[in-house]
Amino acid sequence: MVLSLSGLTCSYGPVTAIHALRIGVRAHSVVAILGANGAGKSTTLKAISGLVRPSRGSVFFNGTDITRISAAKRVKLGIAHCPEGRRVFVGETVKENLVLGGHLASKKSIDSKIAEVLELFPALERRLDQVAGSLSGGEQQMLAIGRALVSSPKLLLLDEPSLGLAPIIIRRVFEALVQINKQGTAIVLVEQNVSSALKLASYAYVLREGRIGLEGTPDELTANEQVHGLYLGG
Amino acid sequence: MAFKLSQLRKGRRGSQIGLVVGAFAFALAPAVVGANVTTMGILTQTIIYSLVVVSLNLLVGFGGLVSIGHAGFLAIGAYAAGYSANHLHLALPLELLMAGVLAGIVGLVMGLPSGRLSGNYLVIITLGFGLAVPQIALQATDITNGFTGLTIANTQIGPILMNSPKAMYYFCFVVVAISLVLILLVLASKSGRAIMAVRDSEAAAAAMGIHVARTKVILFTFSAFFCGIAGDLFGHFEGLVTAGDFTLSLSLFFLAAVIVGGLGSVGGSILGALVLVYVQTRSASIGVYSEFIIGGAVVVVLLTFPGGIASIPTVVARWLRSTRGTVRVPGEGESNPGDALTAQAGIGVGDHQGASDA
Repeated sequence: MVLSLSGLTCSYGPVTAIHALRIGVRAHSVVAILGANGAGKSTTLKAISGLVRPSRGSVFFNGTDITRISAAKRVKLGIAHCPEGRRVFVGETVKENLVLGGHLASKKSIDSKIAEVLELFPALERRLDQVAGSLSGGEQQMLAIGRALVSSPKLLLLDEPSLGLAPIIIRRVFEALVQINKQGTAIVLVEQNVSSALKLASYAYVLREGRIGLEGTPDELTANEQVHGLYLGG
Repeated sequence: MAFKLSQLRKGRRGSQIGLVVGAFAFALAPAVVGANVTTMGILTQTIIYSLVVVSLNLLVGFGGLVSIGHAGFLAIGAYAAGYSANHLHLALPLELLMAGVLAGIVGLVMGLPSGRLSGNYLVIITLGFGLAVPQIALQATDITNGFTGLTIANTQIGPILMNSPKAMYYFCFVVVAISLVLILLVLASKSGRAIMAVRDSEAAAAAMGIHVARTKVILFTFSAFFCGIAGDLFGHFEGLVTAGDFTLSLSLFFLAAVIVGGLGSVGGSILGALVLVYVQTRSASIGVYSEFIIGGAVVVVLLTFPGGIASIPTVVARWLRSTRGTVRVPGEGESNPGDALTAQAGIGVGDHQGASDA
């Protein structure tokens, strides 16, 4: 397992966002976390990347307990988080955004990783000197994913990468995710676009009010009447 | 495509050229506009205020943190100059360093809450600081000489005595130029990029491994350090440091200059200081009403150029392109962080892009 969550509980003041989650992610796999708004999907990703401190439970990365270490150290270990809403650095150019993705990496590796990102997302290449705030939503999403890749992650956490994008752009983004996964990066994907997520994932968890309501392979979940009825428009 | 980190700032060469041209203009100004006492006084004040405004723009424009108490840091630097001149008799470079370090230490303490607080709470803290410093200065008579203040008779580096307005101008020019070069180097470095990343999105910056709270504290310290150096120059320029010099109105004047010049622009800050010092000087004869004139100037500039003076070249280039019927590529060419910032809500406090769900 590249990642495992053991009884992970996170609270915001008196409100418990996730309750005793147990999630496992195998190396080179794609795991989807599905669920309605407020189910605890984003909090789960934040707890993995160290942006939120869990109140109970543990996070293991490649067998090492990383529950108490900082977000910066987790980036160094190989966890990259692409937060919801893209959150590109709007006042900076595309180049600068990409370089910031390698904030903790060596100069040499930044150059080669950015070249790889530009191969993956050629649309960014002609926008390198533009401020990121002027990019379209799809380009901003590509930039956000590309920026996360510059740190050479072993595990990529993606929060709603299809949010607010046109279907054709969603298809391009998911094609890029397939490529990224093929190159050996494990992905944890939080999505409300269930059909796209299940096409990409090898295993999925459905969260309900901070707890795992269902889990299984995409085939198992697609066959499940509840999932079909609630998320796949059946 | 081969990408080299060294290409990073190529796109902003225009603003670098502007700064070099500006430096030459300031260097030659006494020869061009005449070296009489009044003109040299206005120019020297502009140069000193430029450093204060740039230091404040580091916080507001580059860091997304608002301070309305920067006159407090200026006061610390000025009193450091006065205390040194009357008691310590330090060499001028050492005295400048002491002024910067003292203000920087206070900035560090002030910056500690900025890791947790933002927006209105931080504004209130800096307001309190700006109001408290002159009152503390009045009470700490052993250090500040209370209401009478501290006199600085001579400004001297080794055997060189700056006893003319022109010599004082060039002394301030050199110190401010060195400070601005240091600031620009930091802004172009990895730390500078981290500062701007925190401004644009704290969540994304943290996800990139940037320590958000630490970055804000360092930024506050850095800003206060250079404001303290400007304060030292201010003390030498005025020759007398009193608590009444460092009012809330002065802090607001600096903030107005930041906005008029353009958020997130070093060159804009210098132009903002230049414009507002000029307006202030021209309207000084009408006493208290001069503040209305300054306020009016701010409104006029912002209505005409919402991104401040620094955005004028971009606005003009865009207008020329549109009159030639060229299809505009969004964000093409020179990037001006002030544009992006002012396009967002407010002046860059906190995250700009939506909130995340639980």
